[in-house]
Amino acid sequence: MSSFDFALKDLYRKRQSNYPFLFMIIIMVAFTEFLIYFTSSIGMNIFIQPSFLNKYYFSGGISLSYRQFNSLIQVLLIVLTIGIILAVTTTLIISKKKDIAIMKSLGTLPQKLYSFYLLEVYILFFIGFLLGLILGLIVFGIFSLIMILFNFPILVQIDFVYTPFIFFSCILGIFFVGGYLIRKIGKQKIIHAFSKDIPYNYNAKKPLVFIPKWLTSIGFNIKIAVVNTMRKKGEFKRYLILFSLIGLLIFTLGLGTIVLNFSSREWINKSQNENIVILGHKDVVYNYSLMYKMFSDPTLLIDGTNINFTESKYFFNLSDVNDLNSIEEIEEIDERIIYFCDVQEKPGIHITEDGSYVIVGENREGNIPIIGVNPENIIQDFEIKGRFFTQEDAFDNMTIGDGLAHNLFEFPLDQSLELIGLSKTFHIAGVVIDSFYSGWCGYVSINESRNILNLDNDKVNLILLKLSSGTSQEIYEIIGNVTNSLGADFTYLRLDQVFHQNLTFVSFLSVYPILLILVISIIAILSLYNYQKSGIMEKAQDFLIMRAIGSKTRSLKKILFIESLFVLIPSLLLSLGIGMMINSLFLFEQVYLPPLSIPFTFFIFLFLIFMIFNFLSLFPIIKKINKFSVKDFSLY
Amino acid sequence: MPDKDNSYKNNEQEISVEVDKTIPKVDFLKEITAKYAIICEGLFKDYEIGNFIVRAVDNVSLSIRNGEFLVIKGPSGAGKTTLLNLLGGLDTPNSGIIYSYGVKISDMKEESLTTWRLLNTGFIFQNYNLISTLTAEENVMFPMNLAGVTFKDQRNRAEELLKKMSLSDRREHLPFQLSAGEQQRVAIARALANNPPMILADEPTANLDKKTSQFIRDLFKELKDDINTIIIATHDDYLINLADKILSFDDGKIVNEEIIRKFE
Repeated sequence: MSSFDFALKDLYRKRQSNYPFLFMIIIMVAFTEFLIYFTSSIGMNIFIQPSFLNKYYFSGGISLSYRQFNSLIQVLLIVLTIGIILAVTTTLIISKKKDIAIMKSLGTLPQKLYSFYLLEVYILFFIGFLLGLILGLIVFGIFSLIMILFNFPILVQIDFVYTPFIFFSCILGIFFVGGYLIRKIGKQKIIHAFSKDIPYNYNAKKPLVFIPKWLTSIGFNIKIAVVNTMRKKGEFKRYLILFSLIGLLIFTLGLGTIVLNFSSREWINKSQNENIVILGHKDVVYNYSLMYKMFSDPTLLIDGTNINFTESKYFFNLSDVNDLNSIEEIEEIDERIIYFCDVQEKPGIHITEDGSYVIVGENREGNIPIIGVNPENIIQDFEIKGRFFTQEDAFDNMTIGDGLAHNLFEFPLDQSLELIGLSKTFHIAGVVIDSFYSGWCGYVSINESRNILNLDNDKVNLILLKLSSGTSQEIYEIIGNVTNSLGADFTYLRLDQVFHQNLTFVSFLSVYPILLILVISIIAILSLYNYQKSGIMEKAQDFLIMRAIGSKTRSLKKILFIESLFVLIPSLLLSLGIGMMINSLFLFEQVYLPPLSIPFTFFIFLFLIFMIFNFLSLFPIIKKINKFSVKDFSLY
Repeated sequence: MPDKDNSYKNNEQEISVEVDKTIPKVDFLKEITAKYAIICEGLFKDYEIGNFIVRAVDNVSLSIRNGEFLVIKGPSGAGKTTLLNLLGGLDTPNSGIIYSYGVKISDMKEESLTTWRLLNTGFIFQNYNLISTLTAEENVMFPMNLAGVTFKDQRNRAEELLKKMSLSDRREHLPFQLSAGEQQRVAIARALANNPPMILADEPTANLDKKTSQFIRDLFKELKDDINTIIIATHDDYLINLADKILSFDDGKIVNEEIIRKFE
């Protein structure tokens, strides 16, 4: 019988006990693949960058935070996937220990044992991985169809990074971890190999060092649970690592999602404001609104080929709309001049932490919208790094959006931006988180813009109005009348819908971490169920004997519940500690951190959820035990 | 060369056997191999559980002739299984020497012992220990596969053995689909697969029904004529009656040795 022949037979004939292992591998791989394709389709994958028509799409500070967060989650998820696969394959090998011992006693050399069982593990892994991959792609396909139905653009790119990485890491992991275990069992004395997870020379008299004595004196059920856990250290360690990873992932996801969602909504709200109306030539108004919409639409791109904002027909005098000042509901009037301009990054000197300096800058170029604004009555309240230029220093300072800062500069606050062709260079005073043009916009003084474009002092091509909330339709009609006085081609537009779309997009970004939490919770339940089920055959015999003597099913449930508790509590505590550290290290530095009560509340919530799952997973286990009779042990 | 007092010294202990003083060392070993299946001297086997030491085999010395049917009997916990494991190469003693067919197995490394076991012994366990995922036929074929026998010969031999065990129609069945008696018969067939010179059996008729026990007893009677050496740990009176030598074992020691049939 060849090794392959034996491996296939063993896998197939013991399929009842092998299916849970296969199932876990399929689920983990499917889920991971789905996540990889999903995140890359919405531009959140740092290794897989789809080519959107809107080359500026999701490229600013928020995207950076979400990409960093997503990268962290993907790393944790990949580690979890590899961890689960290794735990599953290790458990499978240990379940074969008796057969390995029998083979050894018959004269099977360690190398032969190795080839039989390692091959079996690899076959299980290959089948699980392939099926998981197919399932993940099918689920992603269905998801894409649903998103397209809702007019949400989805782009697909084949993954040549993560999938091979997971595959080969598992191959190596199984070879080293599983292979080491088989080699270890193969080299053990036969008598030792016949004992399973409890060490052959286990000294039951030895006091349980880490468990206080009083714990075991609380009750018989706790004592049995403690003893079972301590005697099967290998299984306990495996599942402790597994549940710690799961807890860490859920905790990081949950906390990170709360933080990022809260922060990013706040940033976008500040950059957009509310109840904003734009007023100007219909072409300008229309394109301006689309330039806001670019933040959430990867298929939309407005550039200098769509409109030349500096055409004379687009300009009007500010004084022509003085009537707006008399409308009470208009809280602020923000006059602007918008134009596209070729720009070039200029080098600067960056002082490093150790006091030395480096020249930074690569003279990168781009064509971006420049908005001339009056810094004293700008209606936005940007989240800013650095400062917004003032009237006093407006002649050579500007503020740029985060998209521009992250993509065209290395250290923007130490560099300058040249407006090519207009012979003007501005030092970057501040970087704002901005949804306009996906953050690829520069803000200069309106007076400087007029100088650059040779315009009169009164000229503007756009006005933004901040209205008070609950403004009546009458007021809009008055605004409309004022606009009409500029000419038939002039109009106004409420930006609420576009702003709402952008905020929805930001909220949508939080949907997928919530989805992740749900799926990982399901994986956690399955892992918990597997943990309880894995040792069930050894425990079942003991339980049957206990039941024969007179122990009730309730006692057995308590024992199983407490055993799982001994794994869940330390793993959740570990995940809380490590999760807090990871979140504080890796989340974007400008993020608003929640009060400490939030992570602890989340932890307690997680703990309760796990306890409920722990309790619920007992029912199928007890049902299984109740069906057993002594005869069933010959099966195993 | 043997010493004047007819003892052959090795590095650790003396082995006392009747030898011809004029025979040189190499030939001495040949003679030992020709006459004796097993020679062991001063065997000790302890199990440590924390600070507590269980001495399962306590200074046991014995010799088993080729072709001898040896029965080891004694109460539960006497150490019979441990002694059997030592003689069969499943375990190694803490101290003492075991020579089996002239080979010193007590010092062998595990890999060498594994190969030795494959070719020289057929072990029948008390709880059968069939490989759970292999059919009856595959279980019997397994040791032959390890020994490099061709597939066709494996198949033929397995069929022959299972037929002998009256299990021809059960050869495609997995262990859990067989009764205890049937599993034990498959285990015996497996033990005979490579035609080993020595069969060791640990309570082969324990927990079996009367009919199956009788079948196995008759089988051992037949084997006594076919196989060179049989060592059985048993309480079964019928098997005890087949013995050429009976060792009474208690508390890790041989308390009595009864020779039924003297070998020349």
